[in-house]
Amino acid sequence: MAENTIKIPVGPQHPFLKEPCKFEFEIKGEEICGATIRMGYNHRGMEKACEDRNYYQCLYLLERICGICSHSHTTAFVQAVENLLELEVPKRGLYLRALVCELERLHSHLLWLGVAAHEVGFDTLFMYTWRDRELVMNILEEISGNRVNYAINTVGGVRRDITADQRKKLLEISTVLKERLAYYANIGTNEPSFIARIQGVGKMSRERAIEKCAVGPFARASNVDIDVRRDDPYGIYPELEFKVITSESCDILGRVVVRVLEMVESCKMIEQILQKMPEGEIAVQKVPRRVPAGTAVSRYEAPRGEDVHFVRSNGTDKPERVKVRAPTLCNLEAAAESVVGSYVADIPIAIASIDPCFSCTDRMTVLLNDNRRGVRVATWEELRRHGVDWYRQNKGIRF
Amino acid sequence: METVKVMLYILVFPGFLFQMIYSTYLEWVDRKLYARMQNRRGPLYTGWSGVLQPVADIVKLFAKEDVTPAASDKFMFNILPLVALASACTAGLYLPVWHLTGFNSFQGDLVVVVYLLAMPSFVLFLAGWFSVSPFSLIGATRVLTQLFAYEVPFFLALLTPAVVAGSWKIADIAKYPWASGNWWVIPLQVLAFIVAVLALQAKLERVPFDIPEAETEVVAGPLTEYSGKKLAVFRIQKDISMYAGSALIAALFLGGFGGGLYLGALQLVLKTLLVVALLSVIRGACARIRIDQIVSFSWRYLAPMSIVQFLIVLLLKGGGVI
Amino acid sequence: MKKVGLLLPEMMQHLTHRPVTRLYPFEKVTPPEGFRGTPRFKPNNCIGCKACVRDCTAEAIEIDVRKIDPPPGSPEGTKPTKKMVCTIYLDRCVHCARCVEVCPKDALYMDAEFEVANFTRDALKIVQESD
Repeated sequence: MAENTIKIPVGPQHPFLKEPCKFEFEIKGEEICGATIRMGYNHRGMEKACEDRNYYQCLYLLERICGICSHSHTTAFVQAVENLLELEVPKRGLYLRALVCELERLHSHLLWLGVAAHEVGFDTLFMYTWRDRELVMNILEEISGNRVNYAINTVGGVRRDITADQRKKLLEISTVLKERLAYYANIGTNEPSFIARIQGVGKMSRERAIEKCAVGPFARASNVDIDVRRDDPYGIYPELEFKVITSESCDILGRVVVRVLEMVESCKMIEQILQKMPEGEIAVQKVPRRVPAGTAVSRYEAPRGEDVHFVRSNGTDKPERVKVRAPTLCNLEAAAESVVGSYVADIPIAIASIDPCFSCTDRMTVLLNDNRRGVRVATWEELRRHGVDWYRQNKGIRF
Repeated sequence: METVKVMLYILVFPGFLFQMIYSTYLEWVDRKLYARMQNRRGPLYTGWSGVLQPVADIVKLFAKEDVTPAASDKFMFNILPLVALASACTAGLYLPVWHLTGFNSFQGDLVVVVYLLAMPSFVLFLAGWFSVSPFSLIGATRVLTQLFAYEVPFFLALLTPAVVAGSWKIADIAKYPWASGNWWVIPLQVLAFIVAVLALQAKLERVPFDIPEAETEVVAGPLTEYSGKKLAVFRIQKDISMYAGSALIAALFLGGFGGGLYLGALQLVLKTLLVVALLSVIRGACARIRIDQIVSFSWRYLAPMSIVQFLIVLLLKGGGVI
Repeated sequence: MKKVGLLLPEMMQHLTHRPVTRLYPFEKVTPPEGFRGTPRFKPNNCIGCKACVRDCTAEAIEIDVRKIDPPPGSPEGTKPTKKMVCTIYLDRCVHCARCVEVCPKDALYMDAEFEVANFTRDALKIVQESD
């Protein structure tokens, strides 16, 4: 491996990376032989900051973990807290939460499509998709008061309701977007210079994707059928009908197709939500400020994949420990591996195809190896075996 | 007196000053068209509708700090931008933009112009080589690989009008449709025109052929370590190459710039604008393809197209039709 | 050479359409109703419960309750009045509107101003006093 290979560092600052992360690639000519990752440049100490703030302050702090998937983090956190408080959120509140969730998925995937086009030099498609994204941003500004960081969740429900005017606009936007998405699906699969860059590139086989624990559209494009909205439903997702989109091509073209079709599904879900939404309260009126002691784990399907929040409370109004596991952490190693064996020119688009969000990912990991006190540390294999067995027995899901 | 006249030709018109000013206008047209096709506005506030924006960019670059990497060869690093600019300007000097003869035309000046237009690519390779940085090395090797791809189809395509006119002088080739009255040779050479425009896009390193300078992959390719005045000189050279290349194609394929001073100037502007508009549309409609795909595209499509066109013209010439 | 130039029809169409770019800052933008701009006090409604201080995400609010003794020469038994000095640090605020939600006396409201950038940090400290 060390004959005439040169090591090029990509990052922490690089034009293709939207956030800092260091990759080191060993290349021979134009071909890549090896890849290593070094993260942590975006660590801000969010989890530690949560220990000093009460639950409402935590809620709006965790929203700022990421700008694009901000609603994912608040909803996951608030679901865990509502579980600890044993609150029953009114139906209308849950419907409004799901509405903002699907709108966020729309704007995140449109952003990704534009960024992926920009990585391969297709600036025209970048401008067009971001122009259509403005429709979604404007309606989100009307519904929630801000274009990103919507702050629409509160413990026990949502803070704002939608008016009849906004309902009408949502239905119009849904129609317009479905038409534009059909156009982008046509371009994404047929434009010769675009598919020359993305077809057959960044291949990740199904077995390898499962081994590397990939999640989200990245895994679904490698024919792994997982989606938290269907496997472990939260909120009102049991009442919505939607398809989980998978693709068999296992390359970047598959990921483009999966995301575009997911956007069409989101538009249909928004129409269903507006149709089925009942009247009533939008939040629980009196929410106790002290949360009884306990632990809760909450999973949520963010636009990038499965987002897991763990909350431990101790009877006061401040959480004792909050742990966030973002989807990019699972996909990153798989992405770096999918590039080995192809060209240097494929690095940006292959890394961008997982939709990396390093702001979400950089949290603290503590490794304890303390055998003296009789505390046993479970190895990776044991943890995995335990998880697989548990899901097979209790939920009937076979991996 | 003769010396003063020659100096005026070289420095003012059709030499350095005219090329610098006109090429900024062409860059403005390119940027405005590209923006309008993407449903946005383009440069807007510097001068009327942003016409001075390219000039503003160059002035800004001249005002910035000029950093030379410590490990590079100082002399070569500093001289290379000027060599590139000089060869691009000299190529533009021989084009028939006035009096239908250019400043000093002779048999074989087509070959000289093509050679001088290829010099900036070599200089770019050397610039990447002498700025010792991994990104510029990768960019430099890509420049050379791309040179192998487009240079042969470009020359073959430019050979076609030379064979039609029976001369190696650009002024004669431009004058041929006027002199002989055979205006139908212009639509006859459409294949060579297409090949020449695509090869010019590759020579200027613009999308879809801009992999040597791909911003999202190798920062800026060979120009990564250049900043300040030297980067400004490279940018001026790029604009002047675009002017020289499009004026060359307009002179050879679109019938030159004849008809006296005013009609000639109007023809120059309109025909170079047509070529630049085509380049902008190509830039807007495609994604950037990889280096191996560029080489395979050139040898699979561009080279055969130019050879077919060449054969057609040879047969017509041999049959006595032209 | 299949299907080259799929974007060309739309590109040519846009040459005749108006661009979608908005010429901000020369064309002002009015945010929709309910936009969460900057928080402002109505200090006369404030009772000094400090619920907003407790719940502010960014610790951007300070409320100073000052007791003002009755002026000399007033009748016996006059209680001292309280004056509220409400400070908001706009450079810390994250515009979540939690303070507006939690105030029991409707002493805070969000207005639509979002262009609050300034050259000094002191200009971003807004102090409002009750009378």
